[in-house]
This record gives sequence, structure tokens and C-alpha cells, in this order.
Amino acid sequence: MGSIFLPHLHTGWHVDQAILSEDDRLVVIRFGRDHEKDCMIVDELLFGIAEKVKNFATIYLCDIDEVPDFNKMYELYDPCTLMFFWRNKHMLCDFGTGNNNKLNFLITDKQELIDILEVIYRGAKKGKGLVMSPKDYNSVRRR
Amino acid sequence: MNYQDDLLNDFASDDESENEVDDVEVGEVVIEEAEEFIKNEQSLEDEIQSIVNSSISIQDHLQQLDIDKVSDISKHLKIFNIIPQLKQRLSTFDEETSDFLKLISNSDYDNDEFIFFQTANQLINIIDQEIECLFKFIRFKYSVVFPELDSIINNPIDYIKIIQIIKQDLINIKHYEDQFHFLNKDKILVLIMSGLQNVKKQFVLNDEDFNQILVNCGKVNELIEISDILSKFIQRKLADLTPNLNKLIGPITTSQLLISCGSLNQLCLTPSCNLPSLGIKQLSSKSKNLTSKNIQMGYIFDNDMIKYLPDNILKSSIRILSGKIILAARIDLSKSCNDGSIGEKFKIEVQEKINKLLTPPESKGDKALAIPSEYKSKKRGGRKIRKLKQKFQLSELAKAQNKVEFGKREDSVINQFGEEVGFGIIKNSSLKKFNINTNTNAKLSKALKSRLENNDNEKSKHLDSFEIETKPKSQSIDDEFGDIILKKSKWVNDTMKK
Repeated sequence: MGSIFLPHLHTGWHVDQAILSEDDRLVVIRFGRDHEKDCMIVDELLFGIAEKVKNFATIYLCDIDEVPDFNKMYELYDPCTLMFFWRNKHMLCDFGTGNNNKLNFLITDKQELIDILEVIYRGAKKGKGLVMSPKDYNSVRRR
Repeated sequence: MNYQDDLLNDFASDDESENEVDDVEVGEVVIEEAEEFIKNEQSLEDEIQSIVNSSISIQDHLQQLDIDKVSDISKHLKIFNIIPQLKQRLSTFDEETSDFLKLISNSDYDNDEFIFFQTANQLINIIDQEIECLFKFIRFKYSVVFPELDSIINNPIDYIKIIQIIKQDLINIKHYEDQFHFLNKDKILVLIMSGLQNVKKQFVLNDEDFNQILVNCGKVNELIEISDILSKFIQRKLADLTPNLNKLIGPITTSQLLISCGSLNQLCLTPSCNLPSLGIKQLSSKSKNLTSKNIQMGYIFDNDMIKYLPDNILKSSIRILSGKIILAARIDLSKSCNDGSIGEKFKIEVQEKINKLLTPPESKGDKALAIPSEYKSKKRGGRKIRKLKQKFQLSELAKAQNKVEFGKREDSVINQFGEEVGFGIIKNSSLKKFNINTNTNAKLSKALKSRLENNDNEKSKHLDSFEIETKPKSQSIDDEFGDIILKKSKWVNDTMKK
């Protein structure tokens, strides 16, 4: 249900504009397919926190079938991927999974996601490109 | 006697209009009949009055009654003799369409009908007592047949119904299942189970004894019927007596409350918090057990305004309504508003309040979190925190103790625990006078100070009284424990020497 209420980005241009236009907020983009199970779970989660984090983060959804432009560049092969941007810059976060570029595992706790967003925001404000996740997600690693 | 004349005229005129024959003889007969009827009425009134007056003695009698020895209990019941008369009387009042309120206001409560109405009110209590008495008797007699029935069914009416249905036929109790529609399903199950279990223990009464039980059951039913009729009559009349209360909660609840309190006067004296508990039917075997919800299911609960409300607001809405009920009752007692407009106003008020309770709470969306930031807040403690910090500040002496002069050996002592305590630069700067830090002194709040003083005063008082009372005792205790104390001191002295 969450995917209905969150804004979708329908073309590559939209994605670019979303990343570019935000000056003082983190941009979170979920790449995946709305109809897949993992995506649905994460969408629900994102919709749940969207109102809470609206002061420091905006959340967009992007269908990787509809907008395949970034699939190669960002290696979007997982059913659901979360990526973070700050002023047109890709933010890295060390989740302990080995892949610092994106959050590509299933996260199910709202507070955990909020914590991650906060940490990334703080790091971004200080001009860092890579931050440490508050929790080590080594155990939930996919591959 | 206005009323009687009216009645006579009424009778006569009716006769004339129906027959359209002005027969003098017939008229005379009618008048004679009416007079007889009035005599009857008066005798009935007297009888009721005598019963009411002797009601206390009946009660005592019932308590002293030794059921074992009584064979025919109906001798002790007084209502039975007057039941037909009562019914007749009620029917006459029912036929009348007189405005009750007018009657009251005209004749200042001296009206026949009103008097009857009051006595009827009292009669209901007596009828209840008699039902109870009969029930006791029946229960005692029937317990030989089915001893457990008593503990399964608490309600006299249901108990008697069951007796009338199953009689002594416990073995076939299952065949009567369809007739137990007045019980709930689990009660029926328990009843049948225990009935079948009791078959072995059953003692079969002979026909004569059992017929007696059945006759008494019939009597109870008759009594219940007449009390029903009476209470319905009262219900109808009371509605006119209390216009405001009637508008607020309807005639049924009004009369229920009035009957259970005894009179309007009594109802006004009852605190509103006690109203919900009036008329709780815990004994009824059909009512489901809802005591776990902690709601008092009395007459007010059964009111239409309350009945269908959801559980979560039941308690508060009952409280609101019972508060207004008492107010309306007081208005009715003072007769300041005879058209019931205030009662109507109250009703609207109560309904508005209940509606307010019914509306769901406004859903407030998630509050957005603050932007996370690393800045420290610039606000420091302020005066209070500064004072607090000062309290725990090191004194100058302690500060000096913590410092060591470069290249010199500091003096030290070994304390009781064998630890070395250094003096730091205290000795070196012995010439320097250390300021005593008064901030660190122990302080008492004013309240604590006064409490301590009070405590001391009280203690000294207690001690005084203690001394006076137990002087001889304390001496004896000294004597007893004197030896032990001596031994102890010896032992202590020994160790000291060592």
C-alpha cells in the first residue's frame, strides 16, 4: 500500500531532478519493483516513516523496469535497493555487509531505518562521503 | 367524598345512556350495587392497611418459621385473601381516564386513587416477602428430590418453573430440554448433568406431598402475577407524578427507581453515585455474567439511553445520567416545573455529552522528528545548577592536599585502615590561611528543620509518659540484664588489656 502514497520517479530525468533539487535534505530512493514482496515490505516501512523524517529526508520510489537507466551504473539487481543522496552526491554507508553503496537487504524495523537516515544526514552535513551504520548488518547479508 | 359522588353519577349516567330507559327501579339497584362496591373498597383499604401495619410482624414470623413443622404455609400468607379484590380495584382505576396530576393538585394527596397507589407501593414489598417465604418452603420440600437444583438456580421464579416442568421425573430430564428456554445454554447443560447424577440419590415423594409443592408453586405464580400488575399500575401513575424525571429517563426506569427507593423523597435523598447499583439482577439466571467489566447493570443500565452504548463509555455515561436523574427528581419534589421542560433539557444535555464521548479522538498524524544536529546547546545550568555545583566543590584544603610540590617529598600518615594519606602541599603552606568553604556545609530545608523540631518535641513527650508509666518495669529489666552487661564489660576489658 505504501507505494501508492509515496512519489514515484518515472524517468531518468525525474530521478536526476529529485537528486539535484534537494538542498538541505537527504534524498532516499528505493529502486525495485512495486509488486515484489520485499519491495512491498520496504515501501510500507518507508511510508510509515516518511512523515517523521520529512524535516531531513525525502523519499522517492523508482521502478527499475520503468527506468532502467541506472541499473548498470548502480548495479541494481536486487529486488529492493535503497540509495541515499546528498546534494547530488551519492552517500556511502558501512552496513557491515560489504556493500557500502546501498542498502540492499531487507530491513523491517522503522526505528532502525530512521537511525540510519539520521547518521547519514549527520555525516553528510559534516561533508563526509562515508558513514558508519549504527548497527552492524553483517548477519543479514544477502550474498 | 367528591370522588365517590362522581363515581356514583358516572355509574348512573352510564346506565341511562346505554338503556335510554329512565327506570327508577333499575337506577336504585345500580346505586345499591355501587354502594356495596364502595363498602368493599373501604374494607379492602382497611385490610391492606392492616397488612401493611402488621408487615413487621409478618417478617418476624417468617424468620421464626420452622419449615419442618409447617404443613400448610398458606395460612401465614395474607395477600391471597385480597387478590381478587385488588384486581377488581385495579381494573376500576384503569378504566378511569382522570388526569392524575390534576387529581393530586386538587385534592392535596388526599385522593382515593393516590392513597391506593401508595399502599400498592408498600404492598409490593410485602408480596416480595411472601414470595420469598413460599419459595423457602418449596425449596425445603423439593430438596429431597433434587438437592442440587437449589445451588444451580438461584432465581425463585426459574426454580419454580423448573419444578413445574420436570416434577419428579429426573431420569427423563433430557426430554424436557426444549422447555428450558428461559435459561441460557450452559445453565441447561449443568442442570441436565446434575439432574442425571442425582437420579440415584433421589427420594420420590408421594403424590400428596408433591401436590402440595405444586399448589404452592401455583401460588407463587399468582403472587408474581399480581405484583406485576401492581407494578405496571404504579408505572403508569408515577409517570404523571414526576414529569421531569419521566421526560429524562422514561416512565419505566422512573417507576423502577422510585419503587426501589420507596418514594420520591427517598430518591432525592439518595446520592447519585448509588443510583447505578439499584436493581442489579445478579440472581437472575438468564443474565450473563458481566461483572468482570465492572459495570453496574441496574435499572439505569437498562435504560434505552444507556443500554446500547459501547462498553468503554458505559461507566461514564451512567455517571452522567445518574447525576441528572437526581437533579430532575429534586425538581419534581419541589414542583417547580410541572410540564417536564427541565427534564427534557436535561435529556438533551445528557445525550450531547454521550455523543461527545462517542466521537472518536482526533487522529494526530506522526509528528516530524527534529533535524539531527551535532551542536551542543548553549544553555548552561544557571543559578540553581551553580549552587548545586558549589555544594560539592572541593575545599581549598582538599585542593592543597591534592597538589604535590616538585622535587620534594610529601609528608604522609598511615590511617586506621593501613592506607597512606599524603598531605600534599598543606604543610608547606601552613603559614597560608585556608578559607573555609561554607558552601559545602550540610544544609536543611525549612520544612525538614521544622519537622525535626516537631519530632524532637514529640519524642520528648513520649519519653516523659514512658518514664512515668514504666518506671518500676524498667528497673526490673535493669536487674535482669545487669549480669549480662557486667559480663560483657568484663570481656571488653579483657580484650582491651590484651
